[in-house]
Amino acid sequence: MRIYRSVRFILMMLALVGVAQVTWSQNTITIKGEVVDGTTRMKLSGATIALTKQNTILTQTDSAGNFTIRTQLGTSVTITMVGYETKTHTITRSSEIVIEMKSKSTSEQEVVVQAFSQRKKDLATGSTVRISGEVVQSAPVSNVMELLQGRVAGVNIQNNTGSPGSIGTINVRGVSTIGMSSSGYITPTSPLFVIDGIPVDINSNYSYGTQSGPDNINPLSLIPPEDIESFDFLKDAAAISLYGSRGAYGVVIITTKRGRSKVPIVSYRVDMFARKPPSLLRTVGGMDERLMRINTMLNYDTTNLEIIKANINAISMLSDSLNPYYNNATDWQGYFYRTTLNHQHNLQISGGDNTFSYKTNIGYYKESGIIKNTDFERYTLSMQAVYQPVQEFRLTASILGGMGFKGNGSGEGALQTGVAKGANTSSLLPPPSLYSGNSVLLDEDRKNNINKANQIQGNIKLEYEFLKGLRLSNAFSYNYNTNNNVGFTPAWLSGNSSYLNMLDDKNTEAYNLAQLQYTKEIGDHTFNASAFNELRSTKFRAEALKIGGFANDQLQGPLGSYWMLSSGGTYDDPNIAVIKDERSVAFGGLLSYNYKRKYVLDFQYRTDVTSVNGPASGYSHSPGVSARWNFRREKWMENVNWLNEGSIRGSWGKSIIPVGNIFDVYGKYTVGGYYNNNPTVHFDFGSVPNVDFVPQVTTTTNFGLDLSMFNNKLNVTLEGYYKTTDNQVVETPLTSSTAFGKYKVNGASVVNRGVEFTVNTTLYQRNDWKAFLNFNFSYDKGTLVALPGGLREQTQFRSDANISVPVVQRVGRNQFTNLMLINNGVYATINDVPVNPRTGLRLQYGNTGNYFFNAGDPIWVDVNGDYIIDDNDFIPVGNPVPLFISGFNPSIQYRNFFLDISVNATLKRDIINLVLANRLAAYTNPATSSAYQPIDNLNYWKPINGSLDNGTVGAIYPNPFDYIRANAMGTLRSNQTLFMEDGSYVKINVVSLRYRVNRQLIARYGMTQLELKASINNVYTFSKYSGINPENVSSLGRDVSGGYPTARGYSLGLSVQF
Amino acid sequence: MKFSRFTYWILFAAGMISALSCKRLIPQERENIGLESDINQGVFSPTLGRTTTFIDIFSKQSTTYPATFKILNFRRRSGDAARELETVIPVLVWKQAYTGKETSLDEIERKRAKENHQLFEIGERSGDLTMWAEATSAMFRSQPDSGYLFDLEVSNSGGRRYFQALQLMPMKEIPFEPTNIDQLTGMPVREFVYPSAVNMKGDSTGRELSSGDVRVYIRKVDDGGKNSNKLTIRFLDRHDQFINPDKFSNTNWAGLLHGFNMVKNATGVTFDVAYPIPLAKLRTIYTTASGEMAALRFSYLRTVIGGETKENYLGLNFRIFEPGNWEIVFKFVNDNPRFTND
Repeated sequence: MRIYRSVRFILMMLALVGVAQVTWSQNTITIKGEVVDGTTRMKLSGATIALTKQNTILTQTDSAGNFTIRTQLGTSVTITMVGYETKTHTITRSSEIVIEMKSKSTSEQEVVVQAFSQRKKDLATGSTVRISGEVVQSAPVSNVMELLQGRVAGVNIQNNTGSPGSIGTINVRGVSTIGMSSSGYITPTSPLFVIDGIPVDINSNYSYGTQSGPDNINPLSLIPPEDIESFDFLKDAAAISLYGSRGAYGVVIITTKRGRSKVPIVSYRVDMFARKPPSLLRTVGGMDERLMRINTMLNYDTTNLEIIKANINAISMLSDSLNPYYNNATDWQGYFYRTTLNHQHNLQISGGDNTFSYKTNIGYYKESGIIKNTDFERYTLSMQAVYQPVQEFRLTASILGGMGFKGNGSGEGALQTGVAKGANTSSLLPPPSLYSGNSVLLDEDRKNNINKANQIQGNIKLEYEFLKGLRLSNAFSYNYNTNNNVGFTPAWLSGNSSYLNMLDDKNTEAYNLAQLQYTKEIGDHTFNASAFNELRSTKFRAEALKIGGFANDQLQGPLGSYWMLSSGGTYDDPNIAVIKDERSVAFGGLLSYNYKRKYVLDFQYRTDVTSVNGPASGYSHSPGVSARWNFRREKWMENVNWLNEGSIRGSWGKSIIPVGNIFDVYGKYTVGGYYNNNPTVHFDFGSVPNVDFVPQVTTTTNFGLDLSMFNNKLNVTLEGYYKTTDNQVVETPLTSSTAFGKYKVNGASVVNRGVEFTVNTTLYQRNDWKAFLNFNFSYDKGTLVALPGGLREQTQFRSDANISVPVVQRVGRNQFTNLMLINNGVYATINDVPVNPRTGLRLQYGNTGNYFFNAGDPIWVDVNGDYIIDDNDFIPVGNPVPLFISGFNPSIQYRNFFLDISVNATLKRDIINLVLANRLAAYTNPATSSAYQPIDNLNYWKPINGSLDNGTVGAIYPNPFDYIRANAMGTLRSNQTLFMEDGSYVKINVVSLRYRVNRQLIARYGMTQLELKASINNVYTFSKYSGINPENVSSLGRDVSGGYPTARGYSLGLSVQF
Repeated sequence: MKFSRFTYWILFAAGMISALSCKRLIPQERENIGLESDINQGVFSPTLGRTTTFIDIFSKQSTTYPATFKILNFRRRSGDAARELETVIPVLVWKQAYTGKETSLDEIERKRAKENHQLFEIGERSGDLTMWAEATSAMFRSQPDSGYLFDLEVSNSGGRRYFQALQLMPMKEIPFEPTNIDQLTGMPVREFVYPSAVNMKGDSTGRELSSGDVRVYIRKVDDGGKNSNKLTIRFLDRHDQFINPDKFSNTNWAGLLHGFNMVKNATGVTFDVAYPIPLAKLRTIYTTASGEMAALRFSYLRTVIGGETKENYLGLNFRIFEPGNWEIVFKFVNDNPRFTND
């Protein structure tokens, strides 16, 4: 199996250690041969050929699977290769020999990462899954996580933005936070990424819900997928508790490729790919639109007819139909969205032997966004070298460099609110020009807005085994990121004052891990002990500069040209990132014991202190214990032949994640007003300092069952977990008598429970055909179990109920519940409206006496029965976090053809179709210039014979034309269950086909491998959802029209290896 | 045998995993009665003889709806139980909405029906307190008596809370407004009230008449209980002679009052009406802008000096709660209105 490749090199080098000097006698002959896979006939590189008797290694096969040895006739050689059964061959003749290797696919032999170190899977007590890097190489994407969707049970990846260079949401084992932003996003809880030993935390500094900073380039977008050897997903406490102080949301370890061939290998890959926007929304245009608007106003405005006519005449867009300015049918969406053609290139040079190996990867990627001016361009260079002069000493050095450019468009990259507004402009208005009503498009074209991200990550790791079994290692990494954003807006687009915005930020992290490991075997007992120290220093600072009022649009200077419009300084927008200088220190240890590889017992302990802890809270302690029992190796299991391996494992442990910032602990000073003509500095009374501030603590209990059956053809993993996330920060408002505005306190807790199920199976394997299947299914349910101060519930973002959907957080329920009016249809006639028996009046909206429900209005449940629909009638409904996720990944191989399909599913999730709500709501503003999208396919209420008291029976949507009342009562409001829909979907994510050209055909050109590739990604989504794409919604389940649509991609590629 | 032991282990593992989803480890979602929730109003003084509803008396805060509201322990200030407040009698309730567009008395009456209700009752889900119009000062103690006390219980599955000793101090009936009745004594303080709008010229003095020049007598005419749905409007000049309503020639008689079968003669104009007037707090062509009062407007046109045609009018905003044979008499005291051109 492919996933062995990453460890092959390491094991090979270990095996090579202690090569004795080869001696040969007089009748030595030279023998050439090749090593092939017994079933696929693929040449195997890196197989080791050793003399059986002496156990000395002679050579290993080159990249083409060939070897040459000098030995005597009659000697037997042993060929070993990771992932294959050992084969012994006796040399009987001097001609070319072909050695067929039989594949060995015991999942227990795989290697996984657990707590800073690699372990054989049969000794791993934690929950870890390894995924081969080939998965993300099947189709060209800007962000590697996009293609890992549905690959790992319990890892929920939602590609909810199509913005190149941005990233969707990634949650390991459910959403365990209660934090959210007013823009409709759950505070990101992405796992910690460790790229070749360098921790990259994509949560901090990228606090936008879509996890893109001001530059919109996510650090993960600067990794070329071609360079990735493997991913390790660490899910439970046993796996992560020693892994950094920020691993509580899970850890993803990305290992890049290494050199492993004595003969240097040069490989080059090129992809051409197209991005096609999803089908656009239909729009009503021209005269239809004008008449629809006029009729709406005539029929539903109940004031004086003459006033209405005057109103219509005053709106020249409606009345002045012969004016060429208003006499258009402009296709606005066509101006914003487009199909693009893109390309990427990657060159990798690698090579080396057991003493020294090297790798260099150079990549270029360019993707033009399907929205104009949102192009993403990436340049990457990564290098790695391993030097191991003797077995006891090893030095690994790597450097990863990346540079990304990104156009912001009119929004914040991932959120294209400007475009959403622009593309939603009435077709009556003229196409974009200097005189056009829509300047957003001109922003797109003329605004000079460039983002640049630079990222350099360096890592040096030294390992030295100074005594037998005692190994000292130290890894130091430094991560340096800078982003800058320069945006120039010409005067004619911004009220006659041009301005220039500049934003620069710098984010650095130094990380050092020192570790001492001791391994001792006494008979069948193996002991392993290690102690470590971890140091981390993180700094972030952003500077912003705004200059305005230049002499003309050709000048962008001089500095301070017009001081009234110029400002600058340290950027302190709390929504983006707060200036910080954080340190953390951790000490810990691991004690591991196993008996005959049958019983494994691990103890872990870790203690942390961070500078964002309150001074009164001290060190945090994270203990952990885990065990594994390989029951198949018991004596009484000997006769169970269908089972190849079987084990039960369990773990319990804690891990932390720092929350808040230093200002939450110590408070802050801020610049105030003037006193005696001197600026003052005073304490910021916004929030009370909390000296007891502690990190968030995650406690996970995990049980797992691993089975490998029927000659390892069926591998099943079943896991269950119970995860508590305590000490979450809650902001409590304070009464004005305290002088402070609010108090941030650690107090909320969330429990996640879930079950994960994974099957890896070989479906078919005969002759030239092979079929494999990976299937996984996981269930996760998050529950809010505590709020501070004994509160049972709290409501967030209860802003204007006509626009946003408030979220209620109630103990015992899922963390994020929409607060909505329950909609039971539409009143067909006026007599259907309930009447208050005391007053003789119909149900009314608010207690104003002005808005009584009528035919065509929504039937909202009057929860408290007071015949008034108001705030008291909102009910918590829905869960925006999916309960089930699943992946179905078959791959089929026929001779040199490889077909890989990736299907994933997200089930049981409530999303709010704000796009539909806005589409209907557009009709309630006949006088404004937003686009009318046709609603004739919707079952909305229509009057019968012109009577407004009697109309469609069984309508689903209220009458959108009754615009004055619809605006006042919010009959088309988004916070009603009318627009809440089931967001379940099944998506065919990628279909990729590869063809490996026969070696004989290409050998004459000096190539060792030539592959042709074709792929489609984001192929098709099956869903009952009435909107465009149920995945392309915010993490709180709101289908915001400002979202960046996900494009379908078609690609053709070629990869060649010399 | 050995195989079955293995099966047991599998079952054990499966059991361990399913134990993780054990519900009892997690608090159940339940409704809540907020500790900070409170009653907005402590004293309720409904005027008897009309339906009064006190809404939003409960400040919800973190209490979750639906919740159940109950009134407990009706008692007098002395502590004695006040059983009369628990009286259940048929009261007139609306079954269909009043629109102001009904075309007959029968149509209005078909929208109303008798239903048994406790005279002072609480909305089970809303907590709204209602005193029905059928409650009279004969049944209940009214101010200046100190009235009654009662407790209010709010409960849902999250618990229950009691708000104790809320005061109910009903006021005596005021059958009509504007009124000449002192609410504490229930006795008239003078015999008449004044109109809402007067825009007329005195016939003999030639001065603009003001509301002080017109007295309005709103009274129930005792006809032995024969008519409970009549309203008559009469005009008297300063010599106590009837003014023919036709003198108010510009009056929109059809839109004057939501009444039917108008009988107009020299002594007055009589309608068949449904009480109370107005029937609902709804803005119609018969009411003031707020819909609270019925609005009468009697007008006529006159050519004044300079040749301008001017509208003169007499207006009264009023309401009547008790059914009966009512009479509204406008009496000009100082001067009669001038109906002729200048």
